[in-house]
Amino acid sequence: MTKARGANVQRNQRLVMDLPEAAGDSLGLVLGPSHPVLRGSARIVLEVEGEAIRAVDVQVGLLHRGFEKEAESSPYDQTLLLAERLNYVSPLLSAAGYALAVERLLGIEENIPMRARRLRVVVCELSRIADHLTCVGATALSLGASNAFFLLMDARARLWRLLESLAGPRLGSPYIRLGGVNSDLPDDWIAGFRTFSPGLRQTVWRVDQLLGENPMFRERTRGVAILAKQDVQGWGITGPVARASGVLCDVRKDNPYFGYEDFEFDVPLGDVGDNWDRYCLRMEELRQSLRIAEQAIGRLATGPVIVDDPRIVPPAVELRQTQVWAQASLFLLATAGPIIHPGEVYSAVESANGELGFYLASDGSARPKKCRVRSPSFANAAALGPLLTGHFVADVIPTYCLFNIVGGECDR
Amino acid sequence: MRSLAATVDGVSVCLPAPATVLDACRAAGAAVVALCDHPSLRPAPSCNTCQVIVNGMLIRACAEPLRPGAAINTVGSAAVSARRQSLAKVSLGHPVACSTCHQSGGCELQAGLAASAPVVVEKNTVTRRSLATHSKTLGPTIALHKELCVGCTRCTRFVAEVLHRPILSLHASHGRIANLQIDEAADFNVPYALALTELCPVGVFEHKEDRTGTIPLWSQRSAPSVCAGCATGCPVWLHGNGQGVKRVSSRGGAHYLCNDGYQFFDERGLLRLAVPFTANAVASWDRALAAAAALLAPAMNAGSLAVVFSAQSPTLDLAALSAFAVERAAVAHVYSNLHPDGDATPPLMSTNKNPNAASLIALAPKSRPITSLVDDIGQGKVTAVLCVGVESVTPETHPALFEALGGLTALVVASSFEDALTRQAMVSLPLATVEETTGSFVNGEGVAQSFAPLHSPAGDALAGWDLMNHLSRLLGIEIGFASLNDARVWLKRHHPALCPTQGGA
Amino acid sequence: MKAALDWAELEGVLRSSAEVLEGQGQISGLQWAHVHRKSWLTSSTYLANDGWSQFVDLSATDHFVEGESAKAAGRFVVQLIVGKGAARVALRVSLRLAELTLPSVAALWAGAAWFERELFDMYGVRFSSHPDLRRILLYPEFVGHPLRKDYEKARRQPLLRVGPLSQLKDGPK
Repeated sequence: MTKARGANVQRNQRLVMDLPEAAGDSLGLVLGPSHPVLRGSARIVLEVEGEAIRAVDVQVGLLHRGFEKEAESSPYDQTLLLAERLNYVSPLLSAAGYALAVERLLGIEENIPMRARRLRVVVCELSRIADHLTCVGATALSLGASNAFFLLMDARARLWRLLESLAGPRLGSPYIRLGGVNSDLPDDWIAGFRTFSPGLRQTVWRVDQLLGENPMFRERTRGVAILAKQDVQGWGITGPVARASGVLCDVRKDNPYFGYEDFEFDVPLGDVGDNWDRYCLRMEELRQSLRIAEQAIGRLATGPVIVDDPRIVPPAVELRQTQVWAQASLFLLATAGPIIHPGEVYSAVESANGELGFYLASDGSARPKKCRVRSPSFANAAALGPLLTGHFVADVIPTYCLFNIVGGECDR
Repeated sequence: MRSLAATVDGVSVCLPAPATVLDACRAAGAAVVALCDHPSLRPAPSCNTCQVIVNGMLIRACAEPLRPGAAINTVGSAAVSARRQSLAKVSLGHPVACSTCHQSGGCELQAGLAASAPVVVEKNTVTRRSLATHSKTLGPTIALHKELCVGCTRCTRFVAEVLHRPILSLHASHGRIANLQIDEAADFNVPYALALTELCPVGVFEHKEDRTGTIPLWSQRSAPSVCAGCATGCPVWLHGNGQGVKRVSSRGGAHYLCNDGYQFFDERGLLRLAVPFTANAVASWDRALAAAAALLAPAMNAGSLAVVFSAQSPTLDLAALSAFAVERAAVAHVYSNLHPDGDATPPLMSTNKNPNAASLIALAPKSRPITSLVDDIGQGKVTAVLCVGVESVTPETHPALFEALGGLTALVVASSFEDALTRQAMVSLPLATVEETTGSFVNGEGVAQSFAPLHSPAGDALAGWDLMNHLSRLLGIEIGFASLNDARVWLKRHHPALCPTQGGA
Repeated sequence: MKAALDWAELEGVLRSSAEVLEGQGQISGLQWAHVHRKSWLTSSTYLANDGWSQFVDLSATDHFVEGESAKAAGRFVVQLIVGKGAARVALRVSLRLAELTLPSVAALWAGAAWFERELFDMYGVRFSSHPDLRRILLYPEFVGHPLRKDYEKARRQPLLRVGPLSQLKDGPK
């Protein structure tokens, strides 16, 4: 690392980049975890000259809660509660990803009833919509477009009221269960959804006008933080950020699960890979997710909503009162959790930020030997630093917001 | 020793001969229960819950010898349904009471039913949902729940074959439900009666002191340990949740323990010494160690320091004390405390009540009995005494010794429990117990067996070797026991015969 | 058609540097190849050149089992997952606890750098020629490597002193 001439500031030892010869003074600036417009929990240490960023160190980990360590000493069904809190903006999706991994480990993915799979698709897509609404809304607010923010948050509030009536608590919902979902749709839910979805389309259209036609917004996002297509895969970037750069990758198409192969939907792609493309892509994904949810609701199969497997689902109440085996299964499930034969699995779902993978290794006991979360936010965040170098301080805001690095998912 | 290779559902296993098919299934982790089988007994075989397929034939795994190259199939539909039917027969008439039964979580029938679920019993006439509230007691420690009996005959065979006292028998009643008969005149305070609580797969015999029922299974953990009640040193499993030992069970060996073994890790009515004390006031480790060093240093330099070893201490503790006293400081006055011989009932219990006498003799060869201290103090040869891990020395058992110790100006005691000796001491230092540290004992047959901790030490207690490392450093001697690894290396170099071959030290 | 790893080709590449494929298999979701520590760079380079350009994950499993001797083979396994289209392949290597070092693959997949930092943070694996090996999820003063099985979950950490305000930019020293 070369020393800046005349530098009168402590050079931050932790900055990674090999700095070219600095001309003039440089200033160390910390866009700390508490920041009026940077939603999330990263500590971005900048070395700036004027407005230009010379070096960046994105420091994550402030929300590290030891998920993997905790999972090693918890039964599989208890870890489901923790998995929800990974991406807390779309919690049902994270939980569904974990549940799928356990079901694949048990080898019962094919036995999950079709109705349960369709319902999972519905909540996953609605969760994805919630996440994108939050992401774009926060970006808008960060850039000063509070009108767009309020429109998007209004849509989000209506969506969460809809999800609440189905899934219960917003965070800590028991809706996703190992083996299916917890309960069936309430009677008037579909009617509620049919009221909600045109409203969402209307909101997306209006926000597209407010933001998409807005020269200030375009100026802040076009051509900013261009992530080249050839760099995407090496960085391990997936999800909307990768697709915005033109890389076609979507776990729902590549390795379908929950019956996604039955639905028609497009995977939008960007051309340039700048912030503008990331914004447009998310807006288009909102429309596509709604399309999938509508198809899923139209094709809800009849039947149970959870698999009938005493290894992970307690038997029915009448059985539990008259049969010893049923009460035995319930007791062991409640106090020890599911016991899974030795095996390993790598299972991925398309979360709102990209490929959310779970690597599970079981050893025949009630606790996993290893529960690894492949976090899309973490991989995406790795590229943020090099991407921002050479840009202006003001560009940090839209880039960071549109990368949508969710602290819970990134830090686990 | 010949070893037998076989496959169980495609998984290869290798077992020392002789072995049964059931041993192979267990080694492979297959979910096969065998309710009437127990390693301490000959196979019955009567319950038929262990049926598997070998060479296309349905056999009872507990009684079938394992032949080399056998291909065992436990998941074939014939085997699965045969086991399911046997379990259904066995659970006919069994109370539907898992949610309130004390055996839940450790019940072999429960585990078998859950593994083979669903195990439907048609027209189950017994739908009682809780156990009888007034259960009969057998002896002082066993509560009896006859309604849980599944007729496996483990208990009747155990009392006949192992204890040679046929105090239990099984009668068929009304042709279907087993009826356990107890010889009313029998004394259930016999030395191995508590083994019945471990033996019974469904908990007909409940150890009244077993407190595992209060802990959910997901927070229970187990640690491999060794009973320190006598020189036999039976390997055990300690079960608990990080706040004490809740249950003890056998770990190989004879596959059962004596009554004392099951109760060894119970609270013994003694208060635990958990923090250092100086002059009967709580002190920090730094202050207490400094005070201890200040008390012992002058005597050490003058050659009037006495060190007392205990045959209850783990080998590493004895090693550290030996490194200090025997090897480096050349303490002239070395004593040992061994518990006197006590009752013994074969086959397990030994009259020698010292778990680690062999290590003590090897590490402190010139030690004399602790009672010799009386004269040596009286003659002024000893002015300071350091006791480590000494137990059961009270004014009632050693009156002259306590009188002599009363006249000392320097008495430092390291102990796990608060007793008369620690109250007498000017400085008392808390020692971690067997369930709190890693260590080993050398039993009466010269076998070194290691134990692992169930939970971390209470309060501020330290392992004996760790404590001695700090104390001897303050006395100006570096014994090199800074870490567990260093301690093991020292032992390996100086006394390899005392090192356990498997696991740690 | 999902891409698949050409075992024969990989074995050929390893053989040319006198190395061997130690094991291979298939689990739900990916194929895996187990190589020796010496072959880590060779095999990674082969994968990178063979079109497995999508970096997915780098993690490790500590296989220690209570009661087992500390020298148990295969105790610590590092797993690199890379992808080609829809396919996923895992490259695994066993390390001994006494020698937790590996060459860095950050030159082949840029994203690996942060994942290697996480392995250093959580397990203490040191990657040679890593551009910036320091903790990433935990703070610099953290003592120990928590995902190791010998790190007790409830272990306490030493308290930190709060420094003067001039350390605000860099964090506590």
